[in-house]
Amino acid sequence: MESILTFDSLLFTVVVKVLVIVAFFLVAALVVGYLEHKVMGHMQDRTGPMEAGLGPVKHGVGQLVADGAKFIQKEDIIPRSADRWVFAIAPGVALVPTLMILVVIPFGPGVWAENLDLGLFFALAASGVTVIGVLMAGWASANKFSLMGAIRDAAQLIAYELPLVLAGAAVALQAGTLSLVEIVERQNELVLFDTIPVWYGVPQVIGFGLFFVAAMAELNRPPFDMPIADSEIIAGHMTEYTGLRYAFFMLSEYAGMVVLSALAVVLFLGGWYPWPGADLPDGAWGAVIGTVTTIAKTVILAMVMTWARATFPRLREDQLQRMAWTILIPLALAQIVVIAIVIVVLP
Amino acid sequence: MTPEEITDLFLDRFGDRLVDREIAYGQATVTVAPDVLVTAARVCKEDPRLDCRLFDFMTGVDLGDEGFAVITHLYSPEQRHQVHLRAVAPGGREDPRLPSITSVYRGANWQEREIWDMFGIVFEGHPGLAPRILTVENFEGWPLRKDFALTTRLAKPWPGEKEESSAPKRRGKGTATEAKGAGSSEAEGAGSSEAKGAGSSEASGALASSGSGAEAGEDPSDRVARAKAKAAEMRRRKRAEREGAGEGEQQDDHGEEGSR
Amino acid sequence: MTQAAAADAAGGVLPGAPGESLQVEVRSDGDLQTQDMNLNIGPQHPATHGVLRVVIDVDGERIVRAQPVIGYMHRAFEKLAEHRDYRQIIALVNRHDWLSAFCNEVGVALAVERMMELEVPERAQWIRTMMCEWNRIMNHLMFVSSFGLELGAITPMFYAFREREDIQNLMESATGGRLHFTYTRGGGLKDDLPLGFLKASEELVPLVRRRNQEYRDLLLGNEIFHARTKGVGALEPEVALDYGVTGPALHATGVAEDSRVTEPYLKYDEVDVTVPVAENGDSYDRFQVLLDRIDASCDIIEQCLGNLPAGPFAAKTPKQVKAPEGAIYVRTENPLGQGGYYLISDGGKQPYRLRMRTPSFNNVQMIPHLLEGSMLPDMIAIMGSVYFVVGDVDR
Repeated sequence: MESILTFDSLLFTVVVKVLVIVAFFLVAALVVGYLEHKVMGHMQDRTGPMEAGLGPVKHGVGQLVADGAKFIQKEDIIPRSADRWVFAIAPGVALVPTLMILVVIPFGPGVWAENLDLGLFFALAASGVTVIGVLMAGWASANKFSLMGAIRDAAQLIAYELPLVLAGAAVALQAGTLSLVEIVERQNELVLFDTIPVWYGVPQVIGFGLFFVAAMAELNRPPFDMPIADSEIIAGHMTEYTGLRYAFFMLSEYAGMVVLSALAVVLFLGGWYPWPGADLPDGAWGAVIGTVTTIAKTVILAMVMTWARATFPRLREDQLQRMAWTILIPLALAQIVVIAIVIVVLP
Repeated sequence: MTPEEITDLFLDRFGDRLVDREIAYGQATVTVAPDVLVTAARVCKEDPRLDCRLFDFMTGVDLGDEGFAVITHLYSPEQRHQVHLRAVAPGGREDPRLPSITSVYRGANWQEREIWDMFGIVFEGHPGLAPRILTVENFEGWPLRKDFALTTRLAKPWPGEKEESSAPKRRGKGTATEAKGAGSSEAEGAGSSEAKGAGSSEASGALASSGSGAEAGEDPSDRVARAKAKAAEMRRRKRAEREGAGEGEQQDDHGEEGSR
Repeated sequence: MTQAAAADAAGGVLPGAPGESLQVEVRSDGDLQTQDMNLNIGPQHPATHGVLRVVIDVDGERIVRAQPVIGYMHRAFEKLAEHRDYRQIIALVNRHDWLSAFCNEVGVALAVERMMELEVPERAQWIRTMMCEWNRIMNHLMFVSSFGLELGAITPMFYAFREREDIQNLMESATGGRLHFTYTRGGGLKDDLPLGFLKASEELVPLVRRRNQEYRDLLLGNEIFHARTKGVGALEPEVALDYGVTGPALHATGVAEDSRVTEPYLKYDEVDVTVPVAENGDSYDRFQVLLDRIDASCDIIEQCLGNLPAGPFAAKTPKQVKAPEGAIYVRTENPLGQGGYYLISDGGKQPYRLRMRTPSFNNVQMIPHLLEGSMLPDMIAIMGSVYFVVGDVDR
């Protein structure tokens, strides 16, 4: 199936795809950020933002827009001893990979920018690039807290990229493809014991858990937020940043929530199908229903991340590493072995 | 142990090195000669009868011409008694020196640093008194000595302390030593204090109302209503007091202020 | 020259640092030379409850050396006290430890009253006892919330501040202040309790108890919380006594020294005071003791409410409050530990010398003992659970 964003003119196609992705990226980050404010507020017995509104709609819906406007107005401070260029481009480097992953994520039948044969590989590889931006920021800030935060982040990424990739690999193994679109299609065809249609999240429930935990760790979401632990190292790599550059880091965090949640939906929760074994109508209706379904599932997962943030204290750096190397990675490896055997034994 | 037993124990143990012993408000204060201060502290900690394992605090006291004394308060959690261990620093006001008891109580470290910072008493054997612990590093002088003048007080007398007799006298004083005299002796000489009573109650009233209003963030009209009610209540109370004072003489010192 | 500048000039060695000099340890692992990083936590840092500064040397994530630097909030309280009369001092003493304002003003009032041999009316004493306990709960709720926050759990902060707000409203109705109450006067109180105070108190106590259970469930029942606090910063009772550590930090080591029990003041000899203790003295125990103390305070408040007699709320005091010549030391159990008021009077209307023994000063002095050898994130768990207020350290 072709992407619905494909047109006769190649140039026009590229422009439209880029615009759509950037627009979606910004809107999704703002929406998830707003939802996090509100959901966490209500979890904590308060209302969250209530004042800033868009037009007649209040309840703080314009809060993040207002925040963005504030960030833009702020003075852009670069410390004197900072490495100016590296410092300046680091937020961009941290932001772009998240954008890149969006390119391959299918939101509905035909609703994707690019259906790469190596989609999963591309997504997981791109997600690892973020850490380069963080390391650049940490080093260039010429601040010990920034440096510690960046090094913690790098160590965390190395530890948690493995379970993330291994969990993804198990899915690829079961689906027999690396294309995210095909993974969704195959997933919907899976029938357990010839009777119960399920998604990969059921046979690979361990993998799903590993993927989700590792995704939270990779995004520095609590309880894995020690690279930016405010009470220990102020804000880690973001300590010296202000204004728009700081906003870029925040944006990449929220966008990262969306992207990795969407990836988890695609890999384990049936992508755009509302229920296992569902059949979507062809054409526009199918695309709409599929997109809505994917976004709904994604938001639910993102809110689970928020829930974790409101519930858990932060792990300690060494406990985090120990958890990755002694629990998550062995589990992920064992799961791959089991899946591989099952795939071979069962036709 | 009772305070008497504690002082007796020190008398037995130190004999003529015990300079003074005193019991006030059920608390024993023993003054020892500086050369046995460390021994005395060790006795307090290790003697099973005293067993003062809780190091409480140390403080310096300005004794005027005699120099400075340092008081260490020690407490026994098991026996529930306390000892004030006191020593007068030899060296007068010029060069007060005492042995450090950090080797006995670790907690004495910062306490002695603070006393050095505040009084300039040097503790011999202390691992490091400098840099100054509470004041800024380049601070000059010893703030808690009585000859160290509180400069704001010299420039502007504390409004709550206004006495019609002594206030004008104090305002002119500029030098440090004179201020000491004013602070400790002359201030007591104040007779009746009409101005003072009125001044301070006014000040505290203003303080209280502004404080609660600003912090509560309530409706201004509520605040006005409350203030009115309060004023009415005060008027009522004053009237009652005036009547009370007229009827009987039972309110001597308390009624005096109210009736004015 | 600041201490940091001095340290730089001396090649990273803090000159005359108390206890030990600060050495930069350079060690070699095979061919790789590593150097400890000197890190300056504070005075402006989210974890230090104000302007405490801790200079630490870290080897990776491990703290090799720690040195608290205090004095940023020094306000010369003791000097000011020598220039105020006794009534004014009451407004002064509830400033330095802003979280235990009422307990502090009671301490000074007690010292003056005992010296003057003033008979304080029963009702005033019961009200003071009750207010001290409300203040204690307020204080502890603050630390419950901030400890959670420092460990990365943001929710307890918002929860604990609900009750804190309720208690603040309650205290405000009686005292007119939300933070600095200035409710005590020599010989009694500023005013009687307002109408409805007792009823509101009776309603609030069960609420606080119930919510306290929520914090237990939320934090003490959390795996990550256990991992972060159990065995972290374990303090030995002998060391604690040696440094003069008091309050929850001492009780967590198993020493139940509490002047409400050992040297009762106010009406504490007529109520049952439970002193919660623990065994290990680590961060977890300190936190548990803190939560238990909230329940214990609730019990005391209920007893106060039951025993509150009618009568005057203040004794008749002479217009000029003058303590007779002499010296007295009064100990009170403040929320953060033992507060001490050593008052020397020359018979004047101002104290000749008023020394405040503040719990935080001694507690903070002990912190390096726990920090050295622990991890950087543990520093947060330790400093958050020793319970100090920087104003109380610096005075």
